[in-house]
Amino acid sequence: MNLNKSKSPPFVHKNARIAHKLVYFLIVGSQIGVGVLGFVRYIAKYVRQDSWIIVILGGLSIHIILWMMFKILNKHGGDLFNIHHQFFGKWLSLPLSSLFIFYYLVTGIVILRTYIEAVQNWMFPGIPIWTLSFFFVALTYYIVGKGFRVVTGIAYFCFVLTIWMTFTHYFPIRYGHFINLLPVLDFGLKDYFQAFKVMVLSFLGIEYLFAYYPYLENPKKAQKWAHIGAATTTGIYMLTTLSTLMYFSPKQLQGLTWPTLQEWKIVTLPILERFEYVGIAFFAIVVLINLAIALWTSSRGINRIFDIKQRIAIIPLSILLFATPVFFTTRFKVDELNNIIGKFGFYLLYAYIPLLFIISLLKKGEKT
Amino acid sequence: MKKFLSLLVCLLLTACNTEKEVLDDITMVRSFGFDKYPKKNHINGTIIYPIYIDEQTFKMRDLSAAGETAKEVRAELNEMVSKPLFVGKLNTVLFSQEIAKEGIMETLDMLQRDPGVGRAIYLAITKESTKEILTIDNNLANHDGNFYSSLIKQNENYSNLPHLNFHTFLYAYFSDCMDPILPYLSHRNNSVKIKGLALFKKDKMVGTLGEEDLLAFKTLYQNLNEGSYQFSSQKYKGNLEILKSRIHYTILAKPHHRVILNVNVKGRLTEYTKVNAGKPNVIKGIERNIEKELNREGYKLIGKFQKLNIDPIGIGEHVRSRTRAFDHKGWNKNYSGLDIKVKYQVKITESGISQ
Amino acid sequence: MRFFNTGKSIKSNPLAQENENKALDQNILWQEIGMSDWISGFIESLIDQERFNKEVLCFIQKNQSLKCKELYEQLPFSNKHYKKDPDKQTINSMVLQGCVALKKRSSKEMIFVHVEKAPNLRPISVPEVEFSVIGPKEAFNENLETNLVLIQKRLPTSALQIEFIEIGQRTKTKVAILYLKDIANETNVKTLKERLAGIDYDHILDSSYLIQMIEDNKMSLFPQLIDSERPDRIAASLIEGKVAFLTQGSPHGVYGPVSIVEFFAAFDDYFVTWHISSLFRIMRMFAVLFSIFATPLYVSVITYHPELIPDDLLSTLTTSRTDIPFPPVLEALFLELTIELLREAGARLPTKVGQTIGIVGGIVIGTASVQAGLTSNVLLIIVALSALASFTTPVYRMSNAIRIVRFPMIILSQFWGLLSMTLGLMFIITHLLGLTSLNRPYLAPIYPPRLSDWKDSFVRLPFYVQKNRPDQLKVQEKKKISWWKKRDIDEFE
Repeated sequence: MNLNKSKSPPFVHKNARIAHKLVYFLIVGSQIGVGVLGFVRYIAKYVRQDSWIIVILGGLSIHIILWMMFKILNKHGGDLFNIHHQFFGKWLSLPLSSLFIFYYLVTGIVILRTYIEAVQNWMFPGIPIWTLSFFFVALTYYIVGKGFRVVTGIAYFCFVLTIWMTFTHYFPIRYGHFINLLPVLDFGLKDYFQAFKVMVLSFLGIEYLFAYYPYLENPKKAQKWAHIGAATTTGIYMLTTLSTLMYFSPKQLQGLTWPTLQEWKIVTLPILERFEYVGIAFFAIVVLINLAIALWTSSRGINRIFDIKQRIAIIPLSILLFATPVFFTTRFKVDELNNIIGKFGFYLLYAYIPLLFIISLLKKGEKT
Repeated sequence: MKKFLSLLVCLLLTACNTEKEVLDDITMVRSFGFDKYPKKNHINGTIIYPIYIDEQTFKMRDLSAAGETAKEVRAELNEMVSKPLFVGKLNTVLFSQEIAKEGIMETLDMLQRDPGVGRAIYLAITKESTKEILTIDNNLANHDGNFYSSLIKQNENYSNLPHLNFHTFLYAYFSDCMDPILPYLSHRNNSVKIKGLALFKKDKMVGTLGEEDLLAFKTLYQNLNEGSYQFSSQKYKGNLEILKSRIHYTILAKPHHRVILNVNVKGRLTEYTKVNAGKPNVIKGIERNIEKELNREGYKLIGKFQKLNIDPIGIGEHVRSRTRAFDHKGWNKNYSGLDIKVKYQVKITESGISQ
Repeated sequence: MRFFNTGKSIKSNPLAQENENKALDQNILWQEIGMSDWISGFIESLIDQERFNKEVLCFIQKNQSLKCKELYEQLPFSNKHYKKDPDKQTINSMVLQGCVALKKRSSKEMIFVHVEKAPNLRPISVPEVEFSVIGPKEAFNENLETNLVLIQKRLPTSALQIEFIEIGQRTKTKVAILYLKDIANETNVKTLKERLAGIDYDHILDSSYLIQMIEDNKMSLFPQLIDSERPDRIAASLIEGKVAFLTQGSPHGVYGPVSIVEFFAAFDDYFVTWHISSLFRIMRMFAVLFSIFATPLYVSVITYHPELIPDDLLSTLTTSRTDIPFPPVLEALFLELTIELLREAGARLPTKVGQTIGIVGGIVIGTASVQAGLTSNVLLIIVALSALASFTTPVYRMSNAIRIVRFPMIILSQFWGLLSMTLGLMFIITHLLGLTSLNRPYLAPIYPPRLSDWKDSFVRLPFYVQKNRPDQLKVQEKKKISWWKKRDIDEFE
C-alpha cells in the first residue's frame, strides 16, 4: 500500500479517456435517479405551486457549483484526491478522501434501496431484497469491470433509452389544471429555503466529476457540455414538476409516495395501458448507471488513495453494495437514509465545494 | 468456488419465483359494485368477470358477497372463485345511491392503495342497487366486460357527460375548494342509461343533476369540443351542436367578492323548425335566445350548488389561483352567499348542410 | 502465378518441419530421364504430365549436354528457379507446390520448373447467401488466385497491397491480406497481420476458422468480423479503408474492423435508391429488436403484467390462452425450439427437400399444436414472425447470434417480467459496449456517438452526402468525393 499515490496527478492512458462531449451523459445520468419519481412531493410540501421556481433555483445553483468545480480542477489538474493532498497534506487528506469514497458508495446504496422499495410497492410485493440487489450489483460489477469507457457508454444508453419517457408527461399535462400553478410567489422566504434544501438531493451527482475529471480527453471543452447536461437535468425536473403540480391537487399529492408513477397510470396507448409497469422496469436502467458511477468512483478513490488495484477494490465494494440494502427493511429506514444523504450532499455542494474553491483561489496552481 | 456459485444460482432460482399473475389463471374482475347490506355496517360487493365457454367465446359471470369493509368483501369473494381475484383490469366501480349517501371513500381507499388498480377507470353511482345493474343479462353487449366503461367513455367523448374518472374523483376529493361528481346510472329496459350526475359533498352523495342540465354543467366544468344542446321557445325549437366551448373566470375582489363565469360557445345548428336560419338577423336572434336560456340554466345550477354548499365546478380553486394568501376556510364558509354570475356568449358559425 | 513468388511463411515450427521431411520424401517420384544424365523429381498427381513430357522432357532430350546452370538459363519457362545446393526442406516444399525438380546425377544443383496441373475448380457462380436482385452476380470460389483476380479487376490501383502468409502447420493454407496502402489505417493492418501470424494451429480449412481465432473477444456470441462471398463487397470495404483477407480453399473473404450496424446492411442496399435502402435498413433493425424481444415480452406480460394489455385486446389474448396446460414460458420455449428444429432440419437437407420440410413442418406442426391446445395461436404468430424477422439479417453469423440471444431473454422474462428483461437488455448492451473489432469500438456510430457516420448506418443517405470515410476506421485519406457542387437556382454549367 502506497499512501502517497494521490500526491501525483493521475495518469490516464489515452485509450481509457472519453471524448469531452460525453461528459454530458455522465452528468445527466448521475444526477437523475429514482428521486425523479417522487421529489416533487417533498418540495411541494413547503411551497406547493411554486415548486417549479425551486427547481429553477436549484438548477442555477448547480451551475455555479459546477463552474467552481471546473475552476478548481482546471487549476490544479488531476482529481479530488490529488487536490486534497495538495491542499491538506498527506495525513489530513486521508480521512477526507476516505469520507468521499464512503459517500460515493452510500449514494449507490441509497438509490438501489429506494428503487427496490418502489419495486416492492408497485410490482412484486413479496420479492426478497437480496435477489434484486444481487442482480443489480452483479450487472454493475460487470459494467465497472469493463472500464470507464463502458461506464460512459452505459450513461449514454441510459439517456437514449429513457429520454423518451419525458414525453409521457404529455398525458398528465393534458388532463391537468393550469390553475394549480397559480398564484406565483405566495410563500415566505423560509419555506423556499426549506424546499431548496430538499431539492438538492435530486440534483446530487455532479460531485462524481471530481473523480472522473482526469478521464476527459479535453477537460476545458468539457465544461460547456457539463453545463448543458446540468441544464438538461433541470429541464427534465422542470417538466416533471409542472406535470405533477398540474395533475394532482396539493393534498392529493402529499398522500402519494411516487407521484410520477401515479401519473403514468393515466397513460393509455393503443398497444399499451398502465404505463407505470413499463416505467418502473425501465427505471432499472437509470438505477444501473447511478450504481455503476458510484461503484466506479469509489473504487477509483480506493485505487488513488491506497494504491490498491481497482479490479480488486471493486470486489469488497460490490459486496457492500449488495449486502447493505438488505438491512434497510422498512420504508421508514429508507426515508431516513435518504434524508441523511440529502443533508450530507447539501453541505457537500454548498459548503465544502465553495470552501475548496476559496482555498484554490489562494493556492498556486499546479503545472500540468 | 464452483460449488458456491451453483448454490447461489439455485438459491436465486428459488427466490426469483415471485407471485405470478398468469393471464388465464386469474379471475379478472372487470366491474365491481358496492351496495348496502341489510346487516348493520355491512356492505355487499358484486363483481363480474369473464368465464370461458368455448373457443372464442366468453360470458360474464357475477358473484356477490357481503362484509364489513371492502377488504373483507374481497376476501369473501376470493373464497368463492377457483382462480385468485385480480383487479388490475378493473374498469368500472359502481356504488348504489344508498351507500353513496353514507360516503364511499372508505371503500375507494382499498382500491386507491392497490397499485394494480388504474386511475383511468370509471366510477359511477346507480339509482338501483348495483347488483341489479350488474346482473342484467346483457351478455350480448357486455361479452367482453367493457360495456360500462365504454358507455361512460363514449358519452364523455361524444356527448354531454363531463370527463370523469377515478383520478378526477380523487383530485376533487382531496381539493380544498372542490367537490367530486360522478355519473349517475339507472336501469331501464334491460339495459343501463346515464341519468345525469351525482353530486357529492366530500365523499357523500348529496344530490343529483338531471340529464337536461348536463350540457350547461359541462360547459361550466371544462372546455369542450363536442356536445349538443336542445333549445326551444314559443317560436321555434332546434338543436345546437357545440363545436367549441371555452370557459374563463373574471374575479372581482372589490367592493366584495364576485365571480363571473364567462363561457364562449361556438356551434352550429343541426336542426331547427319554423324559422329561416339563412338570414343573419335571425341567427343573431337565435344566438341571443340561446344565451339567455343558458344563462338562466347556469344561474339555476350555481344556485343549486350554493344551496347544497358544494362546489363541483371548482370555483374556489379558480379564486384561489388568483388570490394571494387565500383563506380556504373563510371561502368555504362564505361560499353559499357568494355573488356568482354566469355569462354565456354564443356564436353560430354554420347552420347545417341544407338551408 | 506471379503472386506466389512472394509467398513466405512468417512463422514455422521446427518440430513439425522435421516430421514433414520424413513423411514427404517418400511421395516424391524420382525418375531418370531417358538415356540422359538427368533425373527429375515430382509428385505425379500435382503436375501436368502432358506439359511435362512435351515441354520439359523434350527440351532436356535436345540439350542433354548442357550444364545445370546453362540449362536453367535456356529453359523456355518464366516460372523457374535455380538452387545451387537445396536442402531437403526446400526440395519438398517446391515439389509440393507442383514443381518438377531437375538435377544432374553428378551435381547438387537443382532446377525447379512450375508445371502444376491446373486444378478442376468450381466455376465462378452466383452468390447464394448474399444474393441480390440488382448488381453483380459473381461470388468467390475455393481458389485463392481466382478470388484475388476478382478483387484486382475491381481495384486496378497500385495502392492495393496483397501480402501472403501461410497458416497451419499441416495444411499450409495460404492467406492473402489485402488493403489499400494510401487509405487503410496502418494500425488496423498491423493488428490483423499480427493476429494472423500468431495463429498456431495444425489445420485451417476455411476462413471461418481464422475468424474465430482472431476475433477480439472469443467468448462472445456476436461475430466481430464480417465474411462475405461477394467480391464487390470486399472491394467496397477495402475502399472504405478496411483490411480484408482471403483464404485458400474458402469462398468467403473476411474484413474488419466492422461495427455492429454493418451486420444489418445488405450489399444491395447500395444498388437501389437511398430512400428504399434506408427504409429496408430501419425495417431490419426493427426486425432484430422484434425478434429478440417479442416472445419474452409476451411471456412477461402474460405471466406478470396482464394490466398492460389494452381492454380491446384482452379477450383475444385470454381466449387464445385458456385451455393451454403449460405456463407461458414453457409454451414459448416449446414453440421456439420447434421453429429452430425445423430450421436446422431444413438446413441439413438438400435444398428442395429442405424447403418442403420447412413448409410442411411449419404448417402442420403449427396448426396441430394450436388445435391440440398445446400453444396459443397468438404466440404462434409472434414466434413465427420473430423467426421470420431474424432471417432478415443479411449476415448469416449475426442472424445466428440473434436467434440464440432470444432464449436467455425468454428465461429471464420468467423471473420478474419486464424488470428482468430490462436487466437482460442492459447486460447485452454492456457486453456490446465492451466488444471491439480489431481494437476499434464495435458499437461505433452509436457509441461513441459519431453522427457523421450515421449517414451510412441505420439509413443510407445518397452517395453525395457521404463525403467522408467512416470515423471509426481512422483512415489516412478521409475524403471520398470532392466533385459535388450544389448548383444555384437557374445556374448552369
